[in-house]
Amino acid sequence: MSMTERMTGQFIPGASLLHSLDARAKLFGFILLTAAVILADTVAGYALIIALMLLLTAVSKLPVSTVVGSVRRMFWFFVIIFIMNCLFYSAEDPIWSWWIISLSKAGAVQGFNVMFRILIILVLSNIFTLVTPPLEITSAIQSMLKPLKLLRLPADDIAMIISVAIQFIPTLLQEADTIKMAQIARGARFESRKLHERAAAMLPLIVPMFLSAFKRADELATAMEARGYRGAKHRSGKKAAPMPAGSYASILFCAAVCAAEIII
Amino acid sequence: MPIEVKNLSFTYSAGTPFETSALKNISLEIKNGEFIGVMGHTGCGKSTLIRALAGLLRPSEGSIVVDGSDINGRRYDRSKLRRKLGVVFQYPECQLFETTVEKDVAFGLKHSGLNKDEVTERVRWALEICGFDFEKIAKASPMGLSGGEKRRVAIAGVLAVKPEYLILDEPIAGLDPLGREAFLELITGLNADGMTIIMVSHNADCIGEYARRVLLLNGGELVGDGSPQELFSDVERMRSLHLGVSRSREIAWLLKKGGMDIPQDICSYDRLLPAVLAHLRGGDEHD
Repeated sequence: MSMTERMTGQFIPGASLLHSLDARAKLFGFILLTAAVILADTVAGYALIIALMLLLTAVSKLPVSTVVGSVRRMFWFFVIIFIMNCLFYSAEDPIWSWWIISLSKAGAVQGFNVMFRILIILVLSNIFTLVTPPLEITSAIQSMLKPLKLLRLPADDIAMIISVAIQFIPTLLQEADTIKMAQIARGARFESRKLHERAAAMLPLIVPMFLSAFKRADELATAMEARGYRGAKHRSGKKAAPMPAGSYASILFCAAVCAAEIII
Repeated sequence: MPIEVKNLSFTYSAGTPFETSALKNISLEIKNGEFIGVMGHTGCGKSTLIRALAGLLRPSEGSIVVDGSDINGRRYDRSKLRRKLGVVFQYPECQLFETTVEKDVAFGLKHSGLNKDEVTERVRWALEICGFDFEKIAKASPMGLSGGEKRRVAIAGVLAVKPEYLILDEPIAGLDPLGREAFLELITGLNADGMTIIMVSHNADCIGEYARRVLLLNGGELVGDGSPQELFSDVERMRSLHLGVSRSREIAWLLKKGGMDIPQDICSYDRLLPAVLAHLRGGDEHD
């Protein structure tokens, strides 16, 4: 995969209901729904979650292939998660067991549960980042961290660090792409099949990336100080607009789903 | 044997809402020993074109044939292309990673089948033509060098494989005037020894002085292919493509506009100055 291609889960501009919701509401809703997914453990609960996923995908107006994009790539990860859970779950009535390995019905159920939850959370987070611009996500995180100030934690600085980190991702990816191409052109073999060769082959990519990331961080720090940055505490920000009623409604909806999962 | 590009098109993120077409139906032929300058406004597809030529991007359509074989063909051995065609990317100093300069320059020779002595000999050659004293620099860490030195080490690393074709992306950006001159002299020397040079640059002066043929790209299309004299003759058209012409050409153009009789196929100083002198002397004779 060339890194100049878009990553899965990268924001896609649109005009759907999900796009128009307040990022804070979406983040809060995402957390509530994640909780709901973890709480789900009955067939009815799963059915509700699946129905919800279908609904969200439909409302987001995104192509289904985009929404489940990263899931397909992680197919083997899911297979391994399932097998591990099946084999190493210590149930009281194993169908078959040998040494520390035991196969049981409870293990299979557990494997399915874990796999299903990770899969749904992955899709959920995918939808979240697909319909929310990264900068809005950061400011949403920032407002979520506000209560931490009561505990004397530097919430503003944490938010600043996150936002800087997020803003650098595209730049660093592009740079990684250029360096990778340059090294391939010099004869580097990233596509080698032997594992030890492949690990060593990453050095020409990793060393320059680290060097340049440190250099960039250093330059950014100098630039910020030169422009009078003295910690995020005394910064004025764009005054966050109050959340529209629709966004409150969406949080309520997610809370309802979460409550339903507890009851079921 | 030449490089033949036929109906080359490239589309980024095909089939998504971000589909952008970076190259549109480009056909051209590059003969051995040419010195080609590639010019174009930002986002015109220059980088995509050189990446496609270097076999780093698979074109959406069309073919690139190097020395008689399609580089995107199923059975083509890419490592053959890597030894034949060197690429110096923009700010190549970023690609240094080894602990010593010698190791870094030798990196490209890893799979070349040369023995240890031959590799050392190649590294020595590459570093020396890039203006280094091999004994002094070989064991130094590339990270401790100055920006200009790092760039020359990186270029030595590309030259060490002795490529037949050398692609350069904005090689002189950020170099001081002396470094620029030394670098262009090096490239001209390599070209005189038979290396084919394809150089992308925004710098019309450097293209006008050194390139024998210029490719103009605009919006992913090839909109000009000819000598700098031909292409720079139409100053207004170049400007409409958001490109400048070399300063010497611009001076000739302005002098002509001001009523001076100066040939309009001048795009280097070593032709401009005699022409101006001849004109002034000619004017003297009339008096």
